[in-house]
Amino acid sequence: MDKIQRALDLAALQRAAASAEDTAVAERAAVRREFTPAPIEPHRRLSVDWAALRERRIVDWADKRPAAQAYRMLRTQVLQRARAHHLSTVGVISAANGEGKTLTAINLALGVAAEPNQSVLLMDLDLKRPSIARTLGLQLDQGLEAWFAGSAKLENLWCGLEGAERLFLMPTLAAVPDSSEVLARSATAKMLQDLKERDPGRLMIVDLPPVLLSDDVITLAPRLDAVVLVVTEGRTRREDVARTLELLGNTRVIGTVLNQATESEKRSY
Amino acid sequence: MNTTAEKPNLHGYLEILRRRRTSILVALASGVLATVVLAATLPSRYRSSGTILIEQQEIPTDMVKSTVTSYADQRVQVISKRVMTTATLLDIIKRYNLYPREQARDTREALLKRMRDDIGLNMINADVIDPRSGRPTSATIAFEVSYTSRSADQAARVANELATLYLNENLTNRDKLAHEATDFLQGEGDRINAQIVDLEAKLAAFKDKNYAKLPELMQVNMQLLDRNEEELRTQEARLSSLEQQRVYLQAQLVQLKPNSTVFSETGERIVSSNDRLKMLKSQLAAAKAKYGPDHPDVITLTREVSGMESELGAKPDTLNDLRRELQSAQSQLDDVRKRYTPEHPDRIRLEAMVKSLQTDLDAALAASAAAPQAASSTAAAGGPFDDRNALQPTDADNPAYVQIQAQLAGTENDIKALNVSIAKLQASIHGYESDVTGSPEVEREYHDLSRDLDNARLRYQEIRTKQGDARVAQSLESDRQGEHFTLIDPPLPPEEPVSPNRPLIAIAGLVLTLGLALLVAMLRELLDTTVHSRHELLQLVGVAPLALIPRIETQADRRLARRRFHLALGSAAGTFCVALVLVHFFYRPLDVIFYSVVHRLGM
Repeated sequence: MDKIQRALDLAALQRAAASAEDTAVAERAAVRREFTPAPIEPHRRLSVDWAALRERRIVDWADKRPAAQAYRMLRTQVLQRARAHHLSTVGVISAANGEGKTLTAINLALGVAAEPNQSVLLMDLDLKRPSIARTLGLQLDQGLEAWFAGSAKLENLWCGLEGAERLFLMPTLAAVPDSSEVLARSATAKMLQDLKERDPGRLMIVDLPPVLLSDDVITLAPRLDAVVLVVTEGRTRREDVARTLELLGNTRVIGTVLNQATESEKRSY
Repeated sequence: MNTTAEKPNLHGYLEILRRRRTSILVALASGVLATVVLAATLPSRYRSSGTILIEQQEIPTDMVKSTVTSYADQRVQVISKRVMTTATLLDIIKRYNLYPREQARDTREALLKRMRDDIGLNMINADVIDPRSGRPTSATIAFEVSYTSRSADQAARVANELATLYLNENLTNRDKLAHEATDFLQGEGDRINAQIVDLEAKLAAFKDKNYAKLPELMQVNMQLLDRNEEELRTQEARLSSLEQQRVYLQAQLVQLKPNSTVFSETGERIVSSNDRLKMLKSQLAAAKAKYGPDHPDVITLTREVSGMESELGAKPDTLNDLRRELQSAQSQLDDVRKRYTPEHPDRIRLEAMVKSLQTDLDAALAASAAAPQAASSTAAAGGPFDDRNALQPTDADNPAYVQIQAQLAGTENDIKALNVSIAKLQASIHGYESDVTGSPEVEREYHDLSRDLDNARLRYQEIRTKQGDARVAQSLESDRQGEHFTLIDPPLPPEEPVSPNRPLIAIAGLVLTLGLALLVAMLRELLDTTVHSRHELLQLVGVAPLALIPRIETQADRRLARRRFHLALGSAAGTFCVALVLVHFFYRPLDVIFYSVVHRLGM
């Protein structure tokens, strides 16, 4: 009893200290953003066929489709919340697979990158079925799996896209066995922390595996500042959504995204 | 933007319909197709019906009453049951080769049930006023027999057959009923007849046994009894008068002497023996008083008296005589005693005489006591008969005496005859009385018997009357004069089918299809647990979604959709063609189907 009480007290103290520290970091970041020079150049910049990507439902800055408008709205809201609450790592999750997490993550990242003075890092931590590289059609020889295997340095995996200057990518090319254990390593936490501290003003968007199909998300959730839950109309089951929210526990959920929505925000604009 | 109605509104329903449009369309399409196929291909069924009129008895029922009294509709039902027997129906099925396919496939029961379902019996009622009670009632005036078949001709043929069966069955049924009534009444009449014969025999035997006591003879018996009693009274009156007469005659006879008074030549009257005996007796008594017994006078007198007595046949002495004499002697003695002393010879003589008489009287009393029988019998007959023998001397020659004597004898005879007849009368009265007294007992039994007999006769009479009526009714039935069935409207091959009602089926099918489609949509919606709207997500998570991303349609999607559409169209057309070919070669040529459908739809 005493032990528990003491542990709780200690936890409360640490949390207070952490939040105080966070606040300090965020303040510093805000000051720094104003004066930071152009972003660090990535290891290499890849060229992509934006027209072809549109066919893969990728929404770029010049897109006029109704979905683009919706993604912009999402982008704006996420950014507002991130700035308001000093959130730098935002995970994109869904209850089950095939609900459009990766697409949402890419489109959200592209949207955020379109914002001036806002850089964004898109990171593929869906170690079971990494798909960002495939979706964007990137020609790479190694990804995060190499870093997890210890055979590559993080700086070498760092890439960008031509046409999207403020977007940085950290894709994964192949599935990582024991993904949950890998994610639970302190190295992973340290890596995230490093990335955050390298440019505190940058928003990190993390593509994650389905919540209900593995414990990856639950493992990683404490390291994330917030998550966005992707729900697909006519596909995601209500009980799955409820279960997902339950599993996420204390993790902040910025909000949800309803994919394949039949009702639209605006009839015509 | 974020104020969506809590409850599903019309918009929500429309949304559901839009969401489930595929299911609804599929359901609608298949339903419509099924309905159309059903409406077009259901085989036509033709019903042919014949109307059979129930004609009332033509001869008024007041004159001849039919013995078939059940109600017409009831009888029709009975006949129906008789017609619908398994054997009859199977026979019809075989004869007309009905249900050829089902015959091979179904059980006999299923076949019969089908047949029964296809046969229709419809009563035609009319509101009439019951002539007997005057109340409005519903009477069956006719009925319809119908048969439904896929072929119009077959329907007509079978309906005709059925109508004929009904008509024939009615005739045999009525004949049978009439026969039954007659036979029953005949049997009943015979039975009662035998009963009557038996009762009659019993009654005759009873009458024989108790003839005189029969209540019918009561009156006669009473009359006879009265008459006999009257007669008896008359006879008794006569008897008493005769007896009086006899007494009178006897008195007269006593006064007369049997012999006429005879005078001797000397003019001396010759006394009769009796008088002489009396004289002698008094002389003897005087002598006995005067002299001793050895005195010659006394001896002479005694001898004389006894001689006279033996001559007359009378008793030596009678009590009366002795008493009389004793009395006179006593009175003389009393007289003498007053005048003379005891030594006076008269007095002594008289005393001696009294003494002697007393002795004689005692002796006579003793003698009479010794012979009581004769004395009592004569005494019972009455005083006048005391000395009848003495009064009937054989040698009476006094004409008056003889006459009186004859009269007396006649009277005696009459009395004797009367007594006999009175005795007879009394016996007969006694007999009648016993008859009259015994009569009530006999009467009860007799009445029982005769009542039974009367009842039996009455019943017999009744039965015979009824039997006569029944015979008339039977001839009424056999001459087809009673209530009978007439086929007024024979079944004809119908030109129009009765079923199916194709437009109705089509409309009903469409309505049903619509309902089914909605049901399918509703079920799918209920079974679907996925998120469908912003509103749902709001309820689930607590906050509205940040963004609603519409479906992004790519060129590939569009191409795929187009290809799918083309594929579906092509496969549908192909299936249709294959189906047409199959139908054409394996079911029925298409042109035949086309024309039959056109015909069925009435175009």
